[in-house]
Amino acid sequence: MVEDPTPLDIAQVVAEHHQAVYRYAYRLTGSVQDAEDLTQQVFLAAHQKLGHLRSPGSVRSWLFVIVRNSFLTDCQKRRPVAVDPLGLDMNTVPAEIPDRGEIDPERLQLALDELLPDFRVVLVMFYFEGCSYREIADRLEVPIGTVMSRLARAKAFLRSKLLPASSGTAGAAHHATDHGG
Amino acid sequence: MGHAPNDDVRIREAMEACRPGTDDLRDPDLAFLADRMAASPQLRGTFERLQHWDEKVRDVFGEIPVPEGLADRILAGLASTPGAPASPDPDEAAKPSLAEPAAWRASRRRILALFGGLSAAAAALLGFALWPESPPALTPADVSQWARSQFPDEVSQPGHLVAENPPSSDFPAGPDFDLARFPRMKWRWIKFHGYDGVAYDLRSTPGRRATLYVVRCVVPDLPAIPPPPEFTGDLATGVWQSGALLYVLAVEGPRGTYESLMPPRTLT
Repeated sequence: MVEDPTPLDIAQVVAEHHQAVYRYAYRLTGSVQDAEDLTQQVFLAAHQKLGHLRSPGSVRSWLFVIVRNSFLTDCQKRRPVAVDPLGLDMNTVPAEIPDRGEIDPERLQLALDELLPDFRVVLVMFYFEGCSYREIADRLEVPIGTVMSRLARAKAFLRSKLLPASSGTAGAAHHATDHGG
Repeated sequence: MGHAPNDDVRIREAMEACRPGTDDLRDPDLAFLADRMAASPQLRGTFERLQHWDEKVRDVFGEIPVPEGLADRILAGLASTPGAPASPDPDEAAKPSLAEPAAWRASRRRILALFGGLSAAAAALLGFALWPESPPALTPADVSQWARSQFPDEVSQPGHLVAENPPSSDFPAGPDFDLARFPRMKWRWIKFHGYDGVAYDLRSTPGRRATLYVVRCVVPDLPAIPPPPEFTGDLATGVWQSGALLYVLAVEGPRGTYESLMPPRTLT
């Protein structure tokens, strides 16, 4: 018989995961203050529900679920969201990949901020959490085809914002900003 | 790329779905992409550049400075908030969670089944039922209020898929909420004034939440059929009693959303 795992201690959970939770929250909210508020909110919820969680190994993904759900709930309260705003123009794969140092983290965040929440969440799950498209579909409870479409559109939009025009990105930006479908 | 437009979109979406440094191309639904790339060096080149780009973006994604003293502020915030137990509630600890190891879950299920069987036998021998009982001095309004206080927190709750891991038959959702209508329905344990219950997450589309609470207890003066909902803000609640089971349906959204789940009905 497997013995009960040691109960989790909230102080330890905070110590081990607050940085990852904050970074996740920052990529979603795009603001230091909002990210800190969301992080606080997440650990408050985690504190209240910690007794429901049995496996210490799954704490981080559980916290990320709370981050995502809290973020999406807040977004729904703030404003209505249009459906599928990005045109799909995949002609944004650069002929030459710039060095990592040439990807400006601030521009990355500004581009993320322009995306609608549903697209932003998918992108953050892909790049930050390292989720596969199947895992994203499963966790968000949306069809796989929807995830693949959102992922492709959001990534193309990101490239259009981050890569210089000379890298073969022309044509994507206007699709992403006209919200025309 | 020299393909039909729809095919082009399919190829591009598949390329974008592959994570750098993984074997995502072995995914059965993406296997066609490997075949296409084997036949097209140009496509292969585009894919490799995309993977390279994704790798760099992924690295930058995590480069976010964390404010100094954040952990201390979180802990201070928690300390100033009343409520949470420091360790798992023993009652809750006896209930299954999606996150726990399968072996542990199975082993505990056997123990719970054994205890459940012994309890039922003991109750039958003694000739009386241990429950349901009536919570003291509770009114229908108290039940609605309780549901409204539960509902906002649920967005962060894990749950079990009913289709894969159904709850005890002691807490049936009832014929109005069967799996045919809600194939992705989840459930989890709850407590209502000390009484065990189950909450069913009925959300069928993202962004619209609905929860059915089923608790084994009796609250006096409740209707025997689902009544018209009460509204508080954007939340509609309906409370009724069916035999020994208390039911509360809480639905986010306008009356039409509630009635799409629970149409108005009358006693026949």
